[in-house]
Amino acid sequence: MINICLESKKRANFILKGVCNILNVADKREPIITISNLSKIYRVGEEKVIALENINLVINKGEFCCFLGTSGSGKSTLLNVLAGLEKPTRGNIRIKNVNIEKLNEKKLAAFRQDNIGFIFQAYNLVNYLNAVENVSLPLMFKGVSKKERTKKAVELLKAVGLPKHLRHKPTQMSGGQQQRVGIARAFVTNPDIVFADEPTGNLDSKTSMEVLDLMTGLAKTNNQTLIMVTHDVNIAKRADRIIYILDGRIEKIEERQSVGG
Amino acid sequence: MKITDILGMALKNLFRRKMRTFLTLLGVLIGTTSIAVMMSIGVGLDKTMEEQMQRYGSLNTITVNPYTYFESDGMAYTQPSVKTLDDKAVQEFEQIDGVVAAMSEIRAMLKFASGRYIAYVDLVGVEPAKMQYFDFEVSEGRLLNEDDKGAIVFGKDMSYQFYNPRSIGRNGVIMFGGDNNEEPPPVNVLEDKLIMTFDLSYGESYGNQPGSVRRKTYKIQGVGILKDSGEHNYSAFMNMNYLKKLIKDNEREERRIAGSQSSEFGGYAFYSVGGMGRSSTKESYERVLVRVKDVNRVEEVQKKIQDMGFACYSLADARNEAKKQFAIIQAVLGAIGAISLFVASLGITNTMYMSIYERTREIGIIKVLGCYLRDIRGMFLFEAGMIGFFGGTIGIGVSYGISAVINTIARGFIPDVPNAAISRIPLWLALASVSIAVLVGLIAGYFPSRRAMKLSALDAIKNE
Ligand SMILES: Nc1ncnc2c1ncn2[C@@H]1O[C@H](COP(=O)(O)OP(=O)(O)OP(=O)(O)O)[C@@H](O)[C@H]1O
Ligand SMILES: [Mg+2]
Repeated sequence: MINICLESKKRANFILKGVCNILNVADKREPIITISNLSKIYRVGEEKVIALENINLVINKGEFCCFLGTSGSGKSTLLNVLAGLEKPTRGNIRIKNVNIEKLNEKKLAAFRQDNIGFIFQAYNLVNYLNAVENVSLPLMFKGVSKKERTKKAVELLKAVGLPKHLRHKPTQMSGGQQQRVGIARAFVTNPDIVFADEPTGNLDSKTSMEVLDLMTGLAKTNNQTLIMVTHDVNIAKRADRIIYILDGRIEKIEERQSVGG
Repeated sequence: MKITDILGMALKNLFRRKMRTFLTLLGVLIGTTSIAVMMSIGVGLDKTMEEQMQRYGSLNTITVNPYTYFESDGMAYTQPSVKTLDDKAVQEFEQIDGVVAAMSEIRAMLKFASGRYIAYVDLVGVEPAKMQYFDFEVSEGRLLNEDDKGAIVFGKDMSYQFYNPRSIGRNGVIMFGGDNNEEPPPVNVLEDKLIMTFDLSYGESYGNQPGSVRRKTYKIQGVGILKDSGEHNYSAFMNMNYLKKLIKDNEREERRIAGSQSSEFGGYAFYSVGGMGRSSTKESYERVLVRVKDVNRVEEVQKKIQDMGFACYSLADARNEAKKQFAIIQAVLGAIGAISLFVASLGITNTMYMSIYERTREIGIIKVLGCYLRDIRGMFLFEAGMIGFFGGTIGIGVSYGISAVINTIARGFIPDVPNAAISRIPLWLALASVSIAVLVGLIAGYFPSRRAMKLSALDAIKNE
């Protein structure tokens, strides 16, 4: 009898605590991406390659989240599926209350234009366009006028510390400078989420840190969500949260700082 | 994406690869030029022919004869029509939809004289009120009036037909004036006193042989001279009612002479008015002209007249026949040109595929950055279309040049047709050529652009 009493009291306490927790989280942490039961299986000939297996994860608004794992663990695959570049085999992804795996190509493109920025490891600038033109590309796709998008692009290039390289072509810039242009391009549309796949992969450690500072700085000022893939622990340490990926599964999640406070 | 931005990207890529663009464009240029030049010859021949024909009379006029056609063993024959080609028939023709006017005419071969000068004349009796509908236009004086009697309107070269029979005796040659006569005509037909007679031997030396009868002469006055017209230049025109009267008058005279003189031939006028002739009892015109308002309805009106039981023909017949021939020539020439344009289109397709292959990565990036598929397709279609447009436009420019050269050379071979242009590029041909070039560009770019659209963005950015 006492036992039962204790038991129920404990449970009530626990539930209360949980409710408080949830409430607490709710006003501080607003989920922007919800991944549930996500799997991605590639078929190579007869063989099946399980790149992602039953991933469940919630990413909050304004969070800097890092996928860390060894080569071939499925980090890039996860990022690409989140960005809508690939369809998941199973499960669903809600970004800003939209199930993006259900969107068609046209709606996905529109969704990307409005909500997503992308930074690549290999910079991936268009080599016949200069810095300003490269940065204004996403705005051009949105149908922003030339005058307006150039103004915005120049603004961002200044913010990433390239005020003197506006008219430079990619081949006329160093890797670090090119990646700054890449960052400016990702942020120019002021997206809610910026994906970055090994953005520092081709850079030396000093430049890597500078680039990382730039990204996090820009993201924090506008409360943008930054999701980055890396295999470098030192880089990952800068994130609010590290999601360890192993063989297509979440191995563990490490909270670096208390985001709530 | 704004259309101007799509265009801008396409242009940027074209100018980036100048040599390749130029060579591809050259192919289209040659293709367009060969189509345009080939077609221009077809058009030129057709137009030249039509202009030549118009010199011989209006294409809008149908000539009706008092025959009917019948076919036997695949051959067409004519026989006198059952119906009479009379004033009633003329009225019926005028009732046909699309007909402006129908005009009967009678003809008489007779002689005019002025002082020492005489001329054989093909005198046509016409209905004065209807002359205006049949391309009668004066360069001097006036046309005929309803109440005219001896008034004559002369064809442009008619006044040069007068000659002095006495001067033949001396040099044995009759000198007739022609188109380009610079000397004034021997007779001023509007001013000088004129007479006419049915006696064809009048004024000739053989006419003065003993035993010949002096025949009646009628006073006439020239009131107008017609403008240049292939079919009227050597005729003279008179009010039909008056000419009918004169012919009747002449017949009475001839009968009188025939009664008093037994053997007589020579010097009688020929005239072609069935009703007036002695053999026929029916009063049938030799021919009736029917004016149709719209050239394109000539055939239809002709058909109706034939159904009424009369044979008829028009220059439009000949024109349509020739047009069919020229259409074939044009098609053949056009096809030759089209082959080169087709080859050029392969060039465009090849260039576009190459361009897409080179730009695989770029395409992947812009897809990831949120570029719509239709905009990607648009960029490549614009690029291909632009090659077509520039190639076509420059090609038309070149074609005008070549066309001018062809005409200059051709004029050397046909000096008798002044300003002949056997190669002509009308506006429609220029526009059509450019449009075809653009269309060919778009078609040639269609599959490459689809390929670009379907490229996997991921694969594109993955391949390092
Ligand atoms: N298109 C594909 N077809 C078949 N298998 C694929 C494909 N893409 C990825 N994989 C497989 O999925 C697994 C995860 O690949 P992924 O690129 O996500 O790894 P990663 O963690 O990003 O590695 P790295 O750090 O080297 O970039 C790998 O085993 C890979 O072979
Ligand atoms: Mg990777």
